[in-house]
Amino acid sequence: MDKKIITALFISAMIFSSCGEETKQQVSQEEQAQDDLLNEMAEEGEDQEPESFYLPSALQIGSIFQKSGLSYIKGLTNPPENQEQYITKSQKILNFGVYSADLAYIVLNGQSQDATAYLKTIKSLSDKIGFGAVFESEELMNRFQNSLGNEDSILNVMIDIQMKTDMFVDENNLQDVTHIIFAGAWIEGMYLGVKASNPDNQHVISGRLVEQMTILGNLVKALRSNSNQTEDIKQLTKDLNKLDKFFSRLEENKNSQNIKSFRDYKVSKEHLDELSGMVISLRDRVTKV
Amino acid sequence: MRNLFLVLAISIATLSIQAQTVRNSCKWDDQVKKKCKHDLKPYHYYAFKITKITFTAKSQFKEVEVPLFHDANYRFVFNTEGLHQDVKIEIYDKPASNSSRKKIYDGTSHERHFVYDPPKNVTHNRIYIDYIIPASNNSDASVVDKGCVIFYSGFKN
Repeated sequence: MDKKIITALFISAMIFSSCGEETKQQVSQEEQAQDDLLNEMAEEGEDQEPESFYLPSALQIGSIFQKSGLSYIKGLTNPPENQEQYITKSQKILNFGVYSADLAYIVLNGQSQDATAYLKTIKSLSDKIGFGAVFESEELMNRFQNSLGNEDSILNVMIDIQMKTDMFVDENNLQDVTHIIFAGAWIEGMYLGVKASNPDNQHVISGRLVEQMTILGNLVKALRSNSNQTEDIKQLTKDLNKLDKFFSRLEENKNSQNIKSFRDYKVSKEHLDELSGMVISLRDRVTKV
Repeated sequence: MRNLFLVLAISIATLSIQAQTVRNSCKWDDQVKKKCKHDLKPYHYYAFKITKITFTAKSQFKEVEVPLFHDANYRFVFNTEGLHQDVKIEIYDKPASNSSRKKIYDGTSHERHFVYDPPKNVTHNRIYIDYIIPASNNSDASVVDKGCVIFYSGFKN
């Protein structure tokens, strides 16, 4: 706003300085200055939208893995009681994402007995990171409770939560926060994919893991678009970038843009082990209490 | 003295013009949300993106990259009621920087609200939505026109 006032004063000053000139010239100068101002305002508007991509939801990532036969292993998810020990805001935001991925994994695998504890954990963290409005509706919580045991209904409730979250983010310009949440969800989704695969489904799951890697570049870009990163998020961005670079260098995936099915992603066992190790190490750091 | 009055009058006019410069037509109200939700069925909600547009003296180009997963089906709902001037909407398999890219869809915002299901054989792990925005057709230079395109998407495994 100050910029606009300064520009307006500048226009006035220009007009004052041309007091002796013809009125026609004054009007022409004024129009030119107005055009400049309007173009400048338009450019300011563009700056509010730095990203030109979007990131999928934790629920879809979970759903992709589940459809590929990822089994449920109790105890793999981050225990709900850990949330009390996340002190910094970055830890809380990241683990909000981690627990969202865990909830998707639990619900999609029909483990409704654990779902309530995870939803309560997410709700509790949402209050601490400024997303409380998404979960304040009694009706939403009741619908979730009443849908337990019915996979389709609970999936619909989770989709509604996702939609409400996205709208809340958009209305409140919280894109920077949501990128960090997605980072937590992505890391947890990959971790579950690495840990819950078994010899029978390993080929399919590894294809899915590699497929997930193709969105990592966008995640790094999204995190970097925040110029006010905290030190721990800066470090996380570096680590994710390292993982992305590792993946990009793999000879097996040079033409991944043209691949028609996730089953066609090829990655050697050695590289898959290295990738899995990096994911586990990242996840351990994010969820550490 | 006469000049001073003239300058003051122009300055006041300039300031008053600035106070009424932005005309934002972007529409993302309950009615539009309801329509988008309705038309997404039977697909599950995936994500939405509001692309904000400011019409200027020059034409512009915006590209949105959408990650897709193999073996999933997608539905895209576009709502352009929040635009008072038409923009071109094109969908490609590769970004604008790639000269060998193929066009998958070609349309204009004139349709206001439309659904597009990208065929599986043309989508890989991402697609690119291009918005080609013409120069503002507003002859009143004192008004900045803004608007938006709503892109609402769903998936089905």
